[in-house]
Amino acid sequence: MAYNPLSEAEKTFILHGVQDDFRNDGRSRRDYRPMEFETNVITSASGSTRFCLANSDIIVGIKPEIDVPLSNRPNEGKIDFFVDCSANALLDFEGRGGEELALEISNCLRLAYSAAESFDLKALCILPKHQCWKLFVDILILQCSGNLYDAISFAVKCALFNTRIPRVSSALLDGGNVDLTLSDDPLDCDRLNVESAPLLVTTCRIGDQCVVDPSTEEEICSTGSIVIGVSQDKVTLLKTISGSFHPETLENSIDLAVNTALKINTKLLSALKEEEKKIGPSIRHHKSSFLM
Amino acid sequence: MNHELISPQGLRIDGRRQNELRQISIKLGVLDRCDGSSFYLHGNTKVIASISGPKHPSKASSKKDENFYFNVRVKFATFSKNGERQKVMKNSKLLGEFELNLKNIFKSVILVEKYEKSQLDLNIEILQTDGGSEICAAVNAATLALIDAGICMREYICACTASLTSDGIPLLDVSHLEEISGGPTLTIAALPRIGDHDQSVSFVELSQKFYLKDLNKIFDCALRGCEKIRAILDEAIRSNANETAISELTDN
Repeated sequence: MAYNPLSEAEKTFILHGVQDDFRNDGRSRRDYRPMEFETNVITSASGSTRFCLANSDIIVGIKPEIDVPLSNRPNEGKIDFFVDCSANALLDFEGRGGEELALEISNCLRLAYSAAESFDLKALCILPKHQCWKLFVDILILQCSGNLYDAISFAVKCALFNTRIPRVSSALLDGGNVDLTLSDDPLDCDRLNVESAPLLVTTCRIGDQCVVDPSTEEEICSTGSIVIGVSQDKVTLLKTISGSFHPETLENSIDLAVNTALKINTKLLSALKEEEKKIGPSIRHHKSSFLM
Repeated sequence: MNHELISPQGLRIDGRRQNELRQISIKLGVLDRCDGSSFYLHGNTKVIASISGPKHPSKASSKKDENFYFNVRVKFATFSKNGERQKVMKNSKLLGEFELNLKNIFKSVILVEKYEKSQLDLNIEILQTDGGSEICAAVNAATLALIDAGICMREYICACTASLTSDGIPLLDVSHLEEISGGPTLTIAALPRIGDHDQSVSFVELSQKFYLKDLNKIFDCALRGCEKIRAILDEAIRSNANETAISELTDN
């Protein structure tokens, strides 16, 4: 993706490292780079996170709006994703390069979240056929160092966990017009269940082996990569990004992705709960955080 | 229309006094893929500015007949404002004016002759806003990013707003709440006074009307605000330089 020239020798070094299960930054093929997140960083959004995976830096903000449900899904809410690449995230993002990538990522997320097993859209319904919440998930990429799909899906999950939707205390249907009363107390709000929200795991084929969480250098060396959406233990999305896979390799990489996603899911959820316990649901005030 | 902007005890809506700034907090070098960057928090406004360059001009910019190519790009995050989600603004008139203002402000302080035939890109992400003071936050954040990138400038350039109550008391650093309660707002960007050099103002914008007799008072108030902001920026830059120096020393 990024313009980052590598010499043949460097490429061979990375390739051999992957074969020996010892990548150029010391990781094994199953390892992720360090992650860091922080929720509730944007007060003007209902839910937000800043998520870092190594040097990738992402901010997600979620705003709910009231909308009318689709006629073929009358008792479900809506969720939509928008990716915005900051011009300095990658040199390629200047001009139109970033727009294609942004579209691809948002479509992937849309697909992964549309599966019934992955995210309960019924919870977003206010009055079947008439009124529902539509969640606008806006993703801002500040910086990218490989593996955007994974980092963004983790960030979205954290932001959804953090999202607070105003509680509707009464909804009346009065001759076709809907009369909603929202709770007066700003702290009285609904939370979303994100336990099964999908995680995207990109596996990259380098040589004969598959790795997770490729760095920018490894992305250049890869001969094929595939994005796998995993919600809990179910695969909800398969999408090749580049190259081609032998059916056997494909099976292996799915196994690898599901196992990794399961581990990350538990870690992520426990970290989210721990953070909330520490900070509490209120807006943060301490100065140590990034966006304060 | 004009609500009580200042209480009989001399406190404003958010508890500040008439000549107090909102909380400012600064971080330098927040992004490492560019040559200089800064995060600037001013009250509830959050801005990230980044600089890339000086570099060889790209094809698109070298078509323009200029000696120094300075590109400014401003982006409002869709979740930056309270209330409804913002539509993605692209090439809108408002954004265009914003970018042009910033460009003009910084062309007056950057030592352009040092960067002949090269390109400098300033990129501003507004993550969260508090009223119309985005331009102030953008100017201050960009100053920090330029210094972080090591671009030669004549002086710090700081921007600040000021307003006036109906009783003629000048208010420094207007918040969104004060802005919408109907007070007039003056926005200036200035190079603060250093030694023999006098202050010079490189950007002025005035909304609504003032009596001419009040203009001096409010101008003074805003200029003093700029000086205060300069002190804060300067301290942040110095402490950042110290920290970097210390960490370099301990690393070796």
